Amino acid sequence: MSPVNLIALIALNYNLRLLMANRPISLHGMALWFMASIMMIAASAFAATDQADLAVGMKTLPLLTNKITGTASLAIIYDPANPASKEEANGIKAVLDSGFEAPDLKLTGVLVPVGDLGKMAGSRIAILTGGLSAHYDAINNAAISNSVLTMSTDLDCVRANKCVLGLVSKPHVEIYYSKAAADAAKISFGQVFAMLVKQI
Amino acid sequence: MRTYPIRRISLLALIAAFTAPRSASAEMVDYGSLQSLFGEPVTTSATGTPQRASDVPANMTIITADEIRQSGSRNIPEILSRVPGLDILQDSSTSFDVGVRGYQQAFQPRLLVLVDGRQVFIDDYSRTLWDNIPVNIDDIRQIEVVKGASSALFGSNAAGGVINIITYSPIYDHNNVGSISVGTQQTLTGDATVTQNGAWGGTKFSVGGMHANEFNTPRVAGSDQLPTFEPRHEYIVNSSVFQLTPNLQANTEFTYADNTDNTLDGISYVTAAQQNTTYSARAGFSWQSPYGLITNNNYFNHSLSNFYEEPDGGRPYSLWTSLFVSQLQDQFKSGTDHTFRVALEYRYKDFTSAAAELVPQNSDLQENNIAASGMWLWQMNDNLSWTNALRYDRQAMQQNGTLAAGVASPVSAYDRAVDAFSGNSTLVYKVTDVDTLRAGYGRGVQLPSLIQSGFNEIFTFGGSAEDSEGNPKLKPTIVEDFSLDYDRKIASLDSTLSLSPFYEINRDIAALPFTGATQTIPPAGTVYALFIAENVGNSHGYGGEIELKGHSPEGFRWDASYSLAKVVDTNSVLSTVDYQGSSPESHFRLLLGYTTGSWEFDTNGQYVTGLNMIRSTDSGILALPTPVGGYTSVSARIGYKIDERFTLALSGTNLTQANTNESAYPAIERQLFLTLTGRF
Repeated sequence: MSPVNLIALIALNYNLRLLMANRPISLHGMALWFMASIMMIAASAFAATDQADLAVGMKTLPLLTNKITGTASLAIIYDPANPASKEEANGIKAVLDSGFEAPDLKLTGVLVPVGDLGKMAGSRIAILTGGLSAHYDAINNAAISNSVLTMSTDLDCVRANKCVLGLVSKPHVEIYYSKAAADAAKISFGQVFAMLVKQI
Repeated sequence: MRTYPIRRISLLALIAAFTAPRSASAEMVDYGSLQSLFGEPVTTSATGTPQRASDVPANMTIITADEIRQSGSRNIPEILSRVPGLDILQDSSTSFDVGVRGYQQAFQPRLLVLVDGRQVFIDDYSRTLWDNIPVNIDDIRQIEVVKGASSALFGSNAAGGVINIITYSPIYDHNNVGSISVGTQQTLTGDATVTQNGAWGGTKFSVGGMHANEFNTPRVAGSDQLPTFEPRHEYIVNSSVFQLTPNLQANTEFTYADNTDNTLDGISYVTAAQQNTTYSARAGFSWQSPYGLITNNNYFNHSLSNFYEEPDGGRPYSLWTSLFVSQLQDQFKSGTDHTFRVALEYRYKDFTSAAAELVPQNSDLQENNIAASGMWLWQMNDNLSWTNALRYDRQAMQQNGTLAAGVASPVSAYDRAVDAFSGNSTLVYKVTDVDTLRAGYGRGVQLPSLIQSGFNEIFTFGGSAEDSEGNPKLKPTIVEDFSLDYDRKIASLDSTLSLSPFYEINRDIAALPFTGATQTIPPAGTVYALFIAENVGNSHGYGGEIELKGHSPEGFRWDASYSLAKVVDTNSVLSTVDYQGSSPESHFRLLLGYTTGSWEFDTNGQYVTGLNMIRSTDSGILALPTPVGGYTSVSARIGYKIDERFTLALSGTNLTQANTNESAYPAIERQLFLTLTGRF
């Protein structure tokens, strides 16, 4: 559970207790809930990437028309100025370094600060942390230049046609797919894949 | 009814044949990777386009490879017995018929069976020779069961449902497996599959065989064939996929199978010994084109069945059936919310029969069928989708043989064509993350079988000289079904609850030549009794299934279900097509399993209510309803994984009693098997 969700749950629980005790909801309780709700809405399109999300992303790779097999480096793009983004990037790197297995593929994680996208060169896959909306264009341009498959749990990136894949692992696996972004980066999935995902 | 020159239709069909691509099960569908990605099986059997199992607009059950292994069964009907809404009629050790939502019948014509998209259903009687299907049980990835009219997608044999058996892919999977099984009735079974694949593509060989003694349970003297054949089968399959470019695959498949068994003959309601030889060849391609996924499937099936029946003096009668199918299909998305499938299909059938006739004839029936179909899936929003499918069939027939003078249907009566429409419309509404509702309507068309249209024999049966004739004027049987399905995931029970009520109407049911209404009416100028195929009336059925299925993290699994199928025949004339009496009304199932360490324990207990089933008791001339009580059957398997490669399993069927009377035909014996399986 994310910190934002936790705050909202605490606020909801606090207010419900007041209601059950026949006491009016306090102003600070309302304010807490309201703020948490606003934060939840803002964060609703993005949840920090965890191991399950990463697994979903890597399981899409066998479905590429030009498969990636053997060894590959995965660029983890983050914003050093954003602590949440940096923390998420380190989390992804830690998962990869802990022996994470992708189908028919040995992956090496490479941290790529958003200000130094040249480090993407050599990577065929990139995963974006949250908090990068100001840099969608720059990342997309770098991905196009290097023909990199971009993926993120930040669905807004896909909706903006700046990332190829949006990843949702809970409660059900869903894949959001921007064919425009894929075409621009010369990334090609089979038509069967396109029929099974939510195409933007 | 208009008639059409058969040559013109053949030309059109030929054009379709040589411009055609392959069916929905084309190799472009990497079932393994997709199932791994989405955490659930992917299927093409509901709409012809790939869909997640939870999204399909049909009442579908997918039996996974794990469930097949845990069943302990070495034949497909026993595996299917776990599916609510299916009834298994077993009449010898290896002969089965599978009924869908009631409508159980010997030589079941309403259920289309496919292996990787190729029809293994035999068009002579419109039946499935389950023990002749050339497939290694250990090479099956999943079995997809669709209940309800599906002929808008699969054609006229799918009036009641479809079973699509999907094997492991030669190109995407690395299935190398061998097994050997010994058991009671001196059963010996061996199967093996070897796969080689690489960047070029893949090829797979499967080979297997079985031999056993037939059940030694009582048979009716004079009606049931004695001596029985010893059940056996052998098969060999080669299938290959060639990756020509990243967007183009070609595929081939060759099969051969031969079996002997003792089967309930749905034409005379006696048990017959039969020997069947089938072979097939297939070629096609899949192309990810700028216009969508274009697939082509062309195959040729041939079958020869020799029947031996006691009332027939034990002399054989033989049926030869050839089928050529060519399918061309394009699947594509338009925008983000609309998926379309358009398809053309051509079918050519040739049917001949031979027996020692009183008046020699040389019947040779040919049928040409062209069909056009389309499917439109509209994803209206994240939670609501609407699927519509429509198919048009035109079937023309021609009698190329010579028939005796004075027969009811002379050669000229066969020059005719039938037009038929079938369709489906289904709404799928994901009410919440855990609730899904489906509401569907289906209109299926069941065209007459080759026997029903064009069987012609004048011979002695049970001491009576008779003229047994098909009827080219038969109308197609129309099946309409209305269904409502509700699925709810219950996290607290680690289970899914499914409710599936249905209502079904069958119009113009067609009877086989022996089971039509005008038996014993001699044609003018002859001395034979005439037995002619006829449309005998209507029937409707209703009922449903309720199922609770789940598994726990601790290794337990369960599947409890109850199915009800109440069939009411309203045949306007006397007929031995008796769905009402032949279908059990209620069927209770309880499957329990547990995995711990290297051990797997599974049981399957069933109770099926009684029947009042047609049975010949006097040399095959008169078939009468015969009451059969309800029965309980229990099967079980204990599996032990010796190491990463080898598994040893002890399994058994009908464990609670030595003999079980499941139908009006010979009882079923208890069976035990010990199976060693190796994966490499």
